[in-house]
Amino acid sequence: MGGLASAGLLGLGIVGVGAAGLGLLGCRTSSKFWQLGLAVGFGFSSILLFSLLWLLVVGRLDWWPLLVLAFSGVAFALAQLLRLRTSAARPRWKDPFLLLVVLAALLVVAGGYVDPFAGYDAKAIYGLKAKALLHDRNLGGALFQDPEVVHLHGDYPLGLSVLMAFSGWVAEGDPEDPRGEQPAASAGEWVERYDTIDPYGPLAASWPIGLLLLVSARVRELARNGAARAGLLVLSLSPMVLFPWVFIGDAALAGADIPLALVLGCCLVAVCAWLRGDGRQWLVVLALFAASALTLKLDAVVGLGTLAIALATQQRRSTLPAIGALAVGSAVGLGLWLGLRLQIVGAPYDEAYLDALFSATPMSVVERLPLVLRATGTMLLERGVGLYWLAVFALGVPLGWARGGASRFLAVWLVLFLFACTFVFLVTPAHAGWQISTSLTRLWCQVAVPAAFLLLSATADLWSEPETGGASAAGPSHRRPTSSRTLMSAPAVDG
Amino acid sequence: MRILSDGEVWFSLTRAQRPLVLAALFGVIAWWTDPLRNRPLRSAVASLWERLVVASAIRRLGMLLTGLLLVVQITLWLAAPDGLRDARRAEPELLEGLVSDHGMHDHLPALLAEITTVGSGAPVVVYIDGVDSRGHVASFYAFPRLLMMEPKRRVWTLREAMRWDFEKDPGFGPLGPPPPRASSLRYAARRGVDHVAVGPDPNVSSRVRAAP
Repeated sequence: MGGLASAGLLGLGIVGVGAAGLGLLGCRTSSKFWQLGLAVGFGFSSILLFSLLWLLVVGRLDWWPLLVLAFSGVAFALAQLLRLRTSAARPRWKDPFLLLVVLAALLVVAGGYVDPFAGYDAKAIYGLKAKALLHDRNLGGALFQDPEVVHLHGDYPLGLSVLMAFSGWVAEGDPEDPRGEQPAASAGEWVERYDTIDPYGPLAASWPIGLLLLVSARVRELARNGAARAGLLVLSLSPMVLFPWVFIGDAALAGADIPLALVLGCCLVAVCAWLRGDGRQWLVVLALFAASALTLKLDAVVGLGTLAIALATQQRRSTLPAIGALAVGSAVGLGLWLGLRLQIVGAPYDEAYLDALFSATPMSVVERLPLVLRATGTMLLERGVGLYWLAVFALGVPLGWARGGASRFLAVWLVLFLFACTFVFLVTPAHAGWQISTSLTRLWCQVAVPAAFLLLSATADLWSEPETGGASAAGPSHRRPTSSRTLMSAPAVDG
Repeated sequence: MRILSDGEVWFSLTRAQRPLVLAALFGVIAWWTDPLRNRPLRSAVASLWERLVVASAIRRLGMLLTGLLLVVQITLWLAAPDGLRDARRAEPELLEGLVSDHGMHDHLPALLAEITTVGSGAPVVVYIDGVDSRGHVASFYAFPRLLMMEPKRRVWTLREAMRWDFEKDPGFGPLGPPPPRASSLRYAARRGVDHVAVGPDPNVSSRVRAAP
């Protein structure tokens, strides 16, 4: 079987694992879009957490348990697809919105095919470590134990590298030593040896597709006709998030940040489902997503921490269980990484910069503020996302705050996240201009789902038919449905 | 005649006939899916216009902002196929890719030429007499050679490059003098590997074999 087909099958298996896992836990949502988007996140999260746990406990990576999981997922997914064929709820392909979502997903896949994840991060952060894992199956090999060879980049735990290694094994079997014969036959081969594992490319497209599905699910809740839905989807989901390598040439974004955006989005959906009173099983799912977020990138601390604080500000109901689930999940994710990190002798060398993190003083923060604000504005304008974020913060946040309930919760989360990111730039031991240049877009991208939800609510509110003039003969366009309980306008939150 | 790949067929089609193709595509989709559910376009637009007109000033401002954002986002989405074509993976040829416009990496071809003379597969400590914008760009492009750089030198060069490339940062601490070449040589000796030095000045280029 070709590498591409194997990777595609693995993708189906991972989504199947997610869907089956959610089904087993009894986590059901009001639409297939929600369910599929969550299944992508849950499947990836389950597989990578299971792999890292196995690596920590057994001391090596064995592929057979993962293969059993993936095959079970494929079987489950196929069974669901067959059932769907005869179900009354099968997709209506004449639905223009569905068509638009499929087109956008195809564009994402085409993007992954035409321009796979490459560049410095692909090699130094993911590719080399993934190939070392694939070759040695543990962290004790010569590659991992030499800090000069593997730049650990300790802020990127091994979540994606493990997925990459697994997809490489499924598609291509056991690899050669990535160091290879010296000298390499050509410059291209030289570079290629340490690049990412190619079969992961098509699999990586699943992350932004999951994100697309979550936003689409929310769009479907807010608008009824196809044109309104299409408009809202295009408006609320910046192509910068789905195609960062196309528009801003930042392939690094496609590494861990878009996966993290999906997982944080899944955390949000789980929180909302729990707040709506859909059961404690959502807290388990929330903890799993939090753990998985921290195995993708340690920056997740900012997103998860601000989410917890935003939850704490909700007054309608005690949110302690959700905060507890976030804390437990975070502890599991961090614990996994710290446990694995102990096995890597180069880790302390790699993270020597942490000392400098605490060198900031109140005076240095004040002095830096103009530079940080200026650089932030410049970066947003340069990368073409200035108007998008302006709309989120100038429209979404105040309207969300005024609206109350889940929207206010989202507004609080986004504002806290904005402050936390700015604080990071103010105290960074690196040059603030460089730090903003390299990480601002990708940090903000991590809250793509709440930002889209907030923008959607604001836009739907602004363009909805006036209460008094609602008897328009033309019929509804942007009118929000009132009959069904939607995930984001949960009674427990919205009141 | 060159046979186009499947990706190129799509891109060349959209590039050459883009307005026509897109208009036809949307026309077919609109006819097939009827997104307005039999509602005349004119009445839909009139309804939206009516809402805009009766809205308060602040609300109208918000509506206009979302309208503007929608136009921008549509433009971006429509640009995606072209963008994908332009962003086609083009891992630069190793030597070409290292020579950047500002000449900061002009020395690296010499470095790579130098290290090819080192024994097969042997690790090397490199000393770049200048600034390497990532501090370890050589390692990035030459991993199989297991290029190393003295840690202090790596940190120094990365921090120095930040000062060059960006506006002055008052919170960014002072940078001491660069670690001398002697310390890089000592580092190579401690690890028992060859040491290669390169720089804009040809006299800097040299190689010191590891002690047996």
